[in-house]
Amino acid sequence: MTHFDKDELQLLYQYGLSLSSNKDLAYDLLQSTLERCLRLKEQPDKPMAYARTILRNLFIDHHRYLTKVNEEVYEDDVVSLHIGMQPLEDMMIDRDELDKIWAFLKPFETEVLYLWAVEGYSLEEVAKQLNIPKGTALARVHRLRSKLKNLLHHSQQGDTA
Amino acid sequence: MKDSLKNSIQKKFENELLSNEQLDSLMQAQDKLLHQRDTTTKPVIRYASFFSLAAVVVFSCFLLFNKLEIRKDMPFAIASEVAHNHYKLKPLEVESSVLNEVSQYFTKLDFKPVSSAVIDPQQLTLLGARYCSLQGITAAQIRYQTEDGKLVTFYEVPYDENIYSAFPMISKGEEPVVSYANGVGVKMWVEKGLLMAVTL
Repeated sequence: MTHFDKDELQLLYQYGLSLSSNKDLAYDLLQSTLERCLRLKEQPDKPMAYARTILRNLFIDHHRYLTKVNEEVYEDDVVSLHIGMQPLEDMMIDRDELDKIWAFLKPFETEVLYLWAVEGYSLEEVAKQLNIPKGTALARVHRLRSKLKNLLHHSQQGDTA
Repeated sequence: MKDSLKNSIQKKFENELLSNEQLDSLMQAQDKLLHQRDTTTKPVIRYASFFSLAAVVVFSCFLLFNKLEIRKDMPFAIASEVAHNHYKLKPLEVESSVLNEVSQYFTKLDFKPVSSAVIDPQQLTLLGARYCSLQGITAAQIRYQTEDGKLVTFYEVPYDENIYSAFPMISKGEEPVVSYANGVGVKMWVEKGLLMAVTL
């Protein structure tokens, strides 16, 4: 496997940051990811997707956060594919509000937001990256929208701090 | 000022970048990792390398042991070579009874053949000389004859202790070493920076 260029490193770092919300931890995760990836002698089909998966697994190993989440699994259906990320598309927010509520989001929630907003992933791509059914991904998106609205409401009332 | 959630998140991450130092460090780390990966040999190659190295060590020890053995028997080896050439009696390339004339013939040597304190010129008649070698080093082979007609072969060659091992030094008052080969006695010593050998 060949090395990643600087732009790719920045994206992987930001992905690590979306998971950890901690710059030092994101950097450490990125370093460990590079070590794992560059051990491979053969190039994966999608090096960046492969690296993101490694980074995510390392983060899970680090926090074991998924064990705390008892999430129902929803099967794929046509409706979820049709709806996609639409629940998030029409939300409006300013930067200060975003910074305030970001701290109250869980890692897998900030991860979904990052993949959607920065990487431009569709719901299907998010589900594939997270290795979950699309129905489950859509359920997360809906819950995330509700949580964001709720946090936003409290933020505007000044009681999120 | 409100913006879409997507744009706000994008802007948030636009500012979250690795520093140039961190980037350079990661680029270097990648190069190092790739180099380590590519230079790590497969187990089969590693074992083959190990056995090759072991074979080289054993062979080197064998050579060293033999070299030491050869060095230990260097007087005999030189005596054998001198005796062999003594019996062959190859034609002389220069014939003269004057040592100075014989010496002038050896223009291709790195030294000038000289007289020796061990050789008594009163009892020997110089016949002539030819190029020869001792242990692969070009030497001067000088032929004498005794009063009773016996031929004496005398060798001179530049002395290198690393090649010939230690021989008695006349200048230190040491006595020449004598070794026998093919029924011929050969006396050997170092004098005037030359290894000298003469048949008895």
